[in-house]
Amino acid sequence: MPWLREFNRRAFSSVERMSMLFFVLFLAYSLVFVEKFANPVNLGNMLVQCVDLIILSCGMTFVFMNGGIDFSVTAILGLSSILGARVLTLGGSPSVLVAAGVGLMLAIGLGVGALNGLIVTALRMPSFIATMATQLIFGGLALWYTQSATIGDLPRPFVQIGRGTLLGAPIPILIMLAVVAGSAFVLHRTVLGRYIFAVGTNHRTSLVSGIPVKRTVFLLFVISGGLAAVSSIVMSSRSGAGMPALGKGMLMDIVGAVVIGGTSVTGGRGSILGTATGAALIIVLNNSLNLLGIEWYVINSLKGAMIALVALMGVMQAAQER
Amino acid sequence: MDAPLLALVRLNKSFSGVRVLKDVNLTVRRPGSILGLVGENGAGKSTMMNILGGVLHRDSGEMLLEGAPYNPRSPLDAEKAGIAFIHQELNLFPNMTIAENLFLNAAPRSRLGLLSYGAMNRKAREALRRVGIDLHPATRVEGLSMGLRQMIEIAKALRRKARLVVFDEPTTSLSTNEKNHLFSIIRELSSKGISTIYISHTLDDVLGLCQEIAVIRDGSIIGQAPLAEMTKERMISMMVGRKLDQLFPYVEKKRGNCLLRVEGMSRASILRDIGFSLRSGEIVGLFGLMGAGRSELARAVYGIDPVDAGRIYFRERLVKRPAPEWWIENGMAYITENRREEGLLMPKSVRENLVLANLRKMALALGAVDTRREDRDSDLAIEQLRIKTTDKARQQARKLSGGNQQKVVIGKWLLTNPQVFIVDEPTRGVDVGAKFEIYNHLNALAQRGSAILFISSEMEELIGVCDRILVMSQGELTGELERSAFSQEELLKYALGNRACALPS
Repeated sequence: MPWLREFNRRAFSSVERMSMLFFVLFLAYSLVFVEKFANPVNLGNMLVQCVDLIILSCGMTFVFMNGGIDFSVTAILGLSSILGARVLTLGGSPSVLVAAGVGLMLAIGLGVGALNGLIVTALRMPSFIATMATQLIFGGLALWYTQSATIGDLPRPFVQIGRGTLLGAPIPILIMLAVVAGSAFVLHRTVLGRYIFAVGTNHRTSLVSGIPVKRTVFLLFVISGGLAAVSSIVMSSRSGAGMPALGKGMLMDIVGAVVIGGTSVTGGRGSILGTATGAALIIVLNNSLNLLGIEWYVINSLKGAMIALVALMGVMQAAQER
Repeated sequence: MDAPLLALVRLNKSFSGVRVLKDVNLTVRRPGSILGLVGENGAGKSTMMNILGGVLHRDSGEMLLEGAPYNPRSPLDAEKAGIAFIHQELNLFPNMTIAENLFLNAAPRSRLGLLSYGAMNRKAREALRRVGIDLHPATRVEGLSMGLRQMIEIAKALRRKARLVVFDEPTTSLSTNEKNHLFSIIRELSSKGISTIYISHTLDDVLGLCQEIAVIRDGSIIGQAPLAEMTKERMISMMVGRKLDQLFPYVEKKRGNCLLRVEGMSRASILRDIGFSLRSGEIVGLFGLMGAGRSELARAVYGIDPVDAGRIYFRERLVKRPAPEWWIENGMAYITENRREEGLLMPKSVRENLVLANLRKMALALGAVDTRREDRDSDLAIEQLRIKTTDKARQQARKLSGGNQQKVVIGKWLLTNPQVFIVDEPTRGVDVGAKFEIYNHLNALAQRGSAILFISSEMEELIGVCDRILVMSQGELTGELERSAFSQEELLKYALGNRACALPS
């Protein structure tokens, strides 16, 4: 059957496509066979989780394109959440507060991102170490600042971001779509995106070809930090409080989403659509397996195995192309 | 022995419907024969050797070793049959010692089953002595020169009782001494009944070493004949299928203004007070032996490597901080000698590679890439340079032949419309036909007013193509010759360190 052969060839031609296929199948299976999965409240919850994970994973994808990683996103989530909340609860005109709060949160994300970028490009430290250091420093700072307490009672206009709708769609969904579209545009359709792919493939060749390598790598971390701040805005406004430990424990799912989505861990290859699919898959997995009664640590093991398998497939695919 | 040592009979191989080997016949007559194999890149040499070595399977035809059918299913079978390959990129582990490399999968063990280093070192010493090397087997490979590494590979092959050794482009990274040593080892092996297939683009070497020569073109063996019946001209015309009137085309060009001037360039022990200039319409050669500092000079000018002192003037204006980005924007291209690591993005497509240096000019609104221009520009480069690629958007650069890869690198730079070109060994690893095309392109560029600095280790091509030649030796500029005074002896004299009376400016 020639159509089956063609389908096989296309569906399994890349890790990204395999993940997409698996996602569709598993989603269908869950909708049909897993009790309570298709419940509207449950679906709503999953959508919310998707928004958060997708925004963060998009940011992480950029850093992965250069073979790096950004551990500090969870710290950015917490720090911008509580410092933003502090500004938002200062008292005064709500619109000014919201503008200042949002502005500060973004600034923190971009700032920590820039710091990461500087450490990696100017000090030549591996991103693994650099972002681990910033995560410990700024994460600790967040916890210390509020003594682990949350800051509640955020002004209504801010909370509306996370709970309101615009033109009939929940605002967080719109933000997520904007992030995905914007990230895909930058990575796949702009000159900067081409630079990112080139630098992630071979620094030396890129340098000799006149590509601003350091600046490109620097921007990757700024983008990651910035998107973490966006996610923080969404998450904090939805819950109505600033939380210093926001995003705790999310790192595995973020990395999982990026890897399962087909982005190479060594850099030079990746896609935003793949990451979004990977994130959706992880959310569905988490939810569905949970509903089936499987304990969280077993789910974690399964996810870990999946990540390893996918990374292995990526390596094999690269070797096969020799 | 009546049957030849090795006979390839009517071998055929196709990839995705394209016939790569067409009824190939090749014979190694006797144990101890030295057979040369020459052909353009993409002619089918590698495929043929991969079939011989058990890496690929033939579609049809026979292989006979001493008259008996030979059907390797894997490289291990080839090794067991006594066929060894010395590839261009050697298969040694630099972080391990010589002994460890020699005994990778055949380590001598003590009675307890543990590795016996004593026995290993002893046998390693023996193996090394057979190839005339007197190094301690515990020496790590990473510090050794290419020539020595190659000897170790040969020692490895001999240990595996090879009766046929295939050399693939063995001399590209060797000094003259090392090359002569290699040849003497091959002749010694020949006298001991071990045969050699010697694949190389350096036709003079093939003529100097081999007893018989086979020429392959477009997947068929055009002819195999004893040395006495082969001349360089005959080999070239067989390889290329047409008569090349001259190997090195030269054209008259109008010389114009000084485009690039370098003064007092120095860097610790690598460059010493170098100064030269390039004028529009000139092809200036830069000759020297390995280690003379030519590439280092180019990299220093281009801004990839730091310098201690030196001034660079572009169109008579001082360049304060030379960097690749600046140079490309202002019209200089640098084609490095290392296309694998610095010239190409190997896993990326031909198209992506071609537009790489010109991306800054392809931005539309919001930074979006002008994909139509990407297509147009890459099509233009492919057409102008006659780059052979099946699908410019999908074929990876690493799948191209060496000559085509080099053309992609050149194409990439041509698209930036540079006025000054620094080309470092542009024809290394490139077949005769493509070399000729590259010389023609350089000539055309110079005729249009570009200035070219042509760095090369091949005297012949420099003498053939350049207007004048600068010579470096051990970090210094030792001489300069105008075309009217070109001579191999003079060039060599300067390259060996003798200085000219007046230094060039």
